[in-house]
Amino acid sequence: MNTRRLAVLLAVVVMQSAALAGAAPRQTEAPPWLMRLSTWIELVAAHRPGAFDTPARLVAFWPEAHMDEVRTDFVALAALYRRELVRSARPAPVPYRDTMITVPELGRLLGLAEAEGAQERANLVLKRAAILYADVVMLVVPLLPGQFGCSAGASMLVKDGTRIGTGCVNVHWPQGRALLDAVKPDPAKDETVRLWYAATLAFLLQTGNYANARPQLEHAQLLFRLDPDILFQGGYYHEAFASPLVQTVAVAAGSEPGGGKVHLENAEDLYRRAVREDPRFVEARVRHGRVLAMLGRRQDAARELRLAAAAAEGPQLRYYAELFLGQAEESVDNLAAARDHYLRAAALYPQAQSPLLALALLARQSGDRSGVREATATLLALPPGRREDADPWWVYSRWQNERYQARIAELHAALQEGDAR
Amino acid sequence: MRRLALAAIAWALSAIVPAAQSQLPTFSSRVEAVRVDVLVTDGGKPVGGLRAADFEVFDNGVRQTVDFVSAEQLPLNVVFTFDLSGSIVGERLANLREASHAVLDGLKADDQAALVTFNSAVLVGPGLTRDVRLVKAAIDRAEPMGNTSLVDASFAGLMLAEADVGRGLVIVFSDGVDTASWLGSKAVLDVAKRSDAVVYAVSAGLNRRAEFLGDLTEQTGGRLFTIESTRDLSGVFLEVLDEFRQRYLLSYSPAGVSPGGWHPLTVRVKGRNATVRARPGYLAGGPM
Repeated sequence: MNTRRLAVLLAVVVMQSAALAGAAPRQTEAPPWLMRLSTWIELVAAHRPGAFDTPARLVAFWPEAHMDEVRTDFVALAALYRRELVRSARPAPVPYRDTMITVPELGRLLGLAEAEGAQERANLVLKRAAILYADVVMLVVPLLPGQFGCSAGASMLVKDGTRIGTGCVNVHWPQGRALLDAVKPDPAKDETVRLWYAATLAFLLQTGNYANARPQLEHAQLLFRLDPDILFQGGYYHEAFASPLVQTVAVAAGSEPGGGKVHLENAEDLYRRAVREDPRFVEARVRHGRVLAMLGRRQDAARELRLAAAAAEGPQLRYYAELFLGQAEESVDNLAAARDHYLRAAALYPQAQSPLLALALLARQSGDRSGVREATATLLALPPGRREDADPWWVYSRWQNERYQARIAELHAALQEGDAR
Repeated sequence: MRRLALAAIAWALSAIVPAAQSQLPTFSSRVEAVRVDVLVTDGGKPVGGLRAADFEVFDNGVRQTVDFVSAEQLPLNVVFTFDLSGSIVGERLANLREASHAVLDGLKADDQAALVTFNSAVLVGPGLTRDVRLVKAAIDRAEPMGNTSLVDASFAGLMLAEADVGRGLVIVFSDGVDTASWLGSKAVLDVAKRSDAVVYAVSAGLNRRAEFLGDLTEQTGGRLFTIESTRDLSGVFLEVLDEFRQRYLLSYSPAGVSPGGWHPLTVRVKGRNATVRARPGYLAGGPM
């Protein structure tokens, strides 16, 4: 092995890191892998979670192979460092790739100088890096031209039930997952890892980015099998996939041989388990009730939605509960109850058209001419140019009750706590 | 609904409804009669000059006596129900505006028109009015955006079309499938089965699935046009208006049939090998 001493190289790398923001690279003796690793560690440490900052902008241009390489090197060297510390009080230099490395040098490189808590520090780097990658996808990649940050895989870009092009399958999501898989001793027991999945899934699903959400979800389900948040996101994914917005294109593309019913059944299963794990999870209950109704399980739907309507807080969640309960009561011929629930939904959002349409239809079916007249007149009087949030039904497929904002805030707080230690 | 408006009373009532209120539903007095709007063609060309005695109507297989035939006596309530989701832009939007203007220019003084536009939102405005300039201005102002609430808008169109006396003609134009409605298609098709209005629909675009529009037009005795390009949309719209004007409005008082449920209808022209297009039946027992 053509070995070199790390001490010499580190000095060069530190100088290189100082020139992060765009200075031309200098000619050095440092091997490229070491340059990259050191730069990456600097970028990860410098990134402010949630910020569109220089580290995020720089990492956005890193090729996937380099991200693979630095992750592999970091994880291997961190393991080497821990092993050598455990093995000997005065560990000798160890070879890694083409370099001989002493353990103190290694500790400085990795930012793990303190023997105590080295594992926790290594985990923190991994988690910070995963957050950096998520911020790159969410904040930087959308602004880049062409296919920067996209893998060779393609996804369908769909608008209003029509395929309008090819979307991006981002490389940073699988990189983030791979980083978190390296958290020791067990990523499935780590709250920050759980929050990363909960927050990023909420982001992906409320922006309708199903191609990237699916592998993220599958991975999260392996790690957090009984977590209500993750179960909920699974239900949400399948409920969205059963909608006409997605099914229209999926069926046309021949990619959904099972059709929407299979997705509805999956959604029902996942929402039910989310509610079982957390009976106070009203949003999951509301969606569970709707899915039950769509599956034709009307009595079960009405029962679930009655519970949800009684517990729902916040106007939007209450609106959904009342609207869906109205529909569920209507389907079991409780027309007076249905009318009451539609009226309550209309009172919550006076400019929402859905409860008015439902009332007009109900009145027409029940022979209530004045009811038809009243509902139709109110409908006709709705002002033009209503905002998209005038009727929450219009945003149902993209609404997550501020889950993303809540989870991302918790995630950043958890990270700050880790930084402070 | 298949019940005939008592035309004279309703006509008199409608005459005293102020223009500003005319967009609100004004359910007219009705008698227990069934109304069937039919188109008769021979060799693809509409057949005119037929009288009540020329028709045979079977309600649930039982022959009925046609006691009223009207072609152009009643004014039209033309309700444009237009998809203005994000895909209706550029030439497609210009063609839609031009085509609707052409229909409006072809209306008679007593005819009324209304506009329902839809993306996620269903917007009504203006309601039924004889002032076609209002409708033209609204069509020209409308801006496309968002998703497609086709089913919700079709329901609103039906409601408007039967909100005043006259023959309801709903012209639906869409280039997509429903992605955002609250109402279910089955419930709205049930309403269509009870409605006197006739729906004509134009589905634009390649390889579009227009199942709902196909069912809606069939259930109301109308017709679905599937077009690839909107370049001749004016021609299609004018064909709809022309065809609708050449339809006959038959009515009869049902005899020998049960009062409720689904009533299959068969309409024939005696002594001619003519093609008759009419709704396949009606739902009775509903109050309206």
